[in-house]
Amino acid sequence: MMADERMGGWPDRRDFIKGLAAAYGLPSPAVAEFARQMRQGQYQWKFFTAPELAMMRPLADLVIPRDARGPSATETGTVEYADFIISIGSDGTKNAWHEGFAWLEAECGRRFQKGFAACSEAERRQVLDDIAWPARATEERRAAAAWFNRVRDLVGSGYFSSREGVEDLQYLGGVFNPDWRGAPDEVLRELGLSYEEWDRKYGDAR
Amino acid sequence: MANIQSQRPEFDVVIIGSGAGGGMAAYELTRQGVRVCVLEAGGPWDNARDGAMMMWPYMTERRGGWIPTRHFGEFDACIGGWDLEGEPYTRAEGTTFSWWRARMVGGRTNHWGRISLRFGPDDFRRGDLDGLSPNWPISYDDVSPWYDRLDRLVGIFGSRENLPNQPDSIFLPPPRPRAYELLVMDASKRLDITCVPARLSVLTRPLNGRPACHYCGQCNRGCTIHANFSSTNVLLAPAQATRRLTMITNAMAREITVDARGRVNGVSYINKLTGEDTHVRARAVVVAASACESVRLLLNSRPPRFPNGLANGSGQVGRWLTDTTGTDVAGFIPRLVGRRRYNEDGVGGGHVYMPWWLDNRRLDFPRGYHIEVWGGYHQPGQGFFGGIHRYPSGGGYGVQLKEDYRRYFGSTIGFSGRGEMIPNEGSYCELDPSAKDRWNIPVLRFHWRWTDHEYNQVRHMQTTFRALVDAMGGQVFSPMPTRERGYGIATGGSIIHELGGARMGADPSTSVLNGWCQAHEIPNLFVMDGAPFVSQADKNPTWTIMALAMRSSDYLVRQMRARAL
Repeated sequence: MMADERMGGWPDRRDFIKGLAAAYGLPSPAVAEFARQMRQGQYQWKFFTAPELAMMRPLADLVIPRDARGPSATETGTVEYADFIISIGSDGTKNAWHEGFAWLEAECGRRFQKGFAACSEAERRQVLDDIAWPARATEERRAAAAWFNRVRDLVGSGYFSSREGVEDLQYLGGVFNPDWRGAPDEVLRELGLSYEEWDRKYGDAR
Repeated sequence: MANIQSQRPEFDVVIIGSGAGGGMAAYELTRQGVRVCVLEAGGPWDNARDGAMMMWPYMTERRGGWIPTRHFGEFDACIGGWDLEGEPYTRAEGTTFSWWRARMVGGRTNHWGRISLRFGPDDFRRGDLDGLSPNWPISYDDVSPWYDRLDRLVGIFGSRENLPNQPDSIFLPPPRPRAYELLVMDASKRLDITCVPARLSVLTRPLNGRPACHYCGQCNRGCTIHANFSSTNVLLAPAQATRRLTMITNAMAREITVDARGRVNGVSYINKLTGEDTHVRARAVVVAASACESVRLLLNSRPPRFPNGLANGSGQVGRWLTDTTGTDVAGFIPRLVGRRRYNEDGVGGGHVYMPWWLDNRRLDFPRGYHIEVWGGYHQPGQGFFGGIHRYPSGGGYGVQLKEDYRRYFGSTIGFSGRGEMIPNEGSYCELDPSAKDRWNIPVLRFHWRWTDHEYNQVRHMQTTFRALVDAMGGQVFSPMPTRERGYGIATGGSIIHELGGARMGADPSTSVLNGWCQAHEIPNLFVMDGAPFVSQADKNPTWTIMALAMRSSDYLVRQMRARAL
């Protein structure tokens, strides 16, 4: 190393560690306020109307129900997340959601003479079965299927980005990991891959 | 201008901009004893304090999503955007162009992917090779020693490959590839595509007092421990430690001023917090505000002696603007479905890449492109796994869907092509005849045109990426884009590699700067960002911006010592 490139003004090792602690912990005031609201159930609804919210809750749990590996959408703040994300979206997005709920309500009325919120789970599933696989949806249900793609995407993204969802998904990163050495042998073995050639050519950075 | 408040000439050099070029000029000049003032149009930033490296998306209601000042996500370290409030730009009729501007200390070095590629010998002499753009007035041999110094100062990992026109750097060892990157290497080998370790300015070993990477994969959020490169971390901190650097933030440069002899003598800037118009005096001026912003400042500096703007006697300022070409293809790889979990973060970017590997004599386009690879297990945040209905299960809901998310997680591999655009007459920027920004400073109007050189190149990228996905047994969900859709070419400007606008050259009638990034017409005026570039290359420009800024700054000091400035 060229001696003259050594830098002045660098924090010492202790300062680095302090910096790390700050990066890990102590969230900003806005983050703390958000966490407090969520904990206390004080979220202020920004987009869903009361009837829409009464539909969105069961709908979200049909999309992501509780199962052996994790909780349901409503148990993880996903409906609040969806409300917030739509509220900061474009007018086109907002209209698509209002229209989707209106279609769902009308469809349940046509089939069962009652609203979605009043339907049984079996009745709700009958409606979703016709729109949840867009490639199979009939011509007249194409718009409803497109709306349901939005429902699926937002609920899925909300659930799996929640603290519980990250655990369910077993995303193992996002941590200080100075000893990272690539994929473990058993992962590579299952894929029929190996570091042998790489290590021979390039060594191993760790 | 009325109300100019002159300060005493306490600086040798005033630099406009604190990114790759401005940061490097500040580093090199202060190191050599020069008193420097940096004017930065944005606010302060300190990665150790402001970086959001270890935040989890569930800690905020947006889950890491977009906010108006952070287009690439609320944790992204780059404050700026495609549209800045009160700072418009315009496009000529028929032009589609997007202009990214950072407004913060460190500039765009807070954003880039840290892909750090040297330009090769051929990239400096395209005039001789295909004649589609002029030679540079300097050669690879002129720049090579500065690349070496840059490698040692900043730190870069990679591998010695001895590939034609892809010069090796002085490398730290490369990190091992992720599992999916091994698949890509295997497919590349079968298609005769060169695929080698990536070259990124991220430390895999401690260097110059900075610790090695801890592989959290979040380089773009601002590295709290300074293990990756940013101008702030690696250039401005040591410059500040010399006590010869004065950094003025929220300072929007309005005009470079000129004395009776036709030499520049300082810069007028607006204090964005107070609206006050201030003048800072210096013996020389370095413009490094990003290619287009530098053009704008030169054109807006119009003393009676230079009515067309500074250094613009040739009318070349704003001309020969280029961006990198780009297009992306992602594929679903069934072999990766349901695979075992591990921490796949690595560094914040690809661990492998494909440098240009073909011979243009057998192709319908000139020059080349490189390929970047992405995929794997990423931290889930806003927008996680949108469009899962395109995967084989076709959508659905309930327990089956929940299981699909788990099975399909990490089974997508994507390719991004980044290629060389040929400078053309139709791609340039100029002052808009009427539009002004919030401080009444005239703004830029862009003109943009792709030619068949770029369209054919991007079509080749699309075909190649689809072949790679196919070779891995995968499936691409999007159809091949048509000619009408430009084969999927990214909007001009959107790759954020604008180069040119004040190109260097030996002939003052066809160029703005000489080979030292020094204005032909004004010896104490320098431009040290992407604007001096004569042509692109199939390489990201930052490494070359910094090598040239280091070299030109060293020349500037020697000229000052010789009393030539």
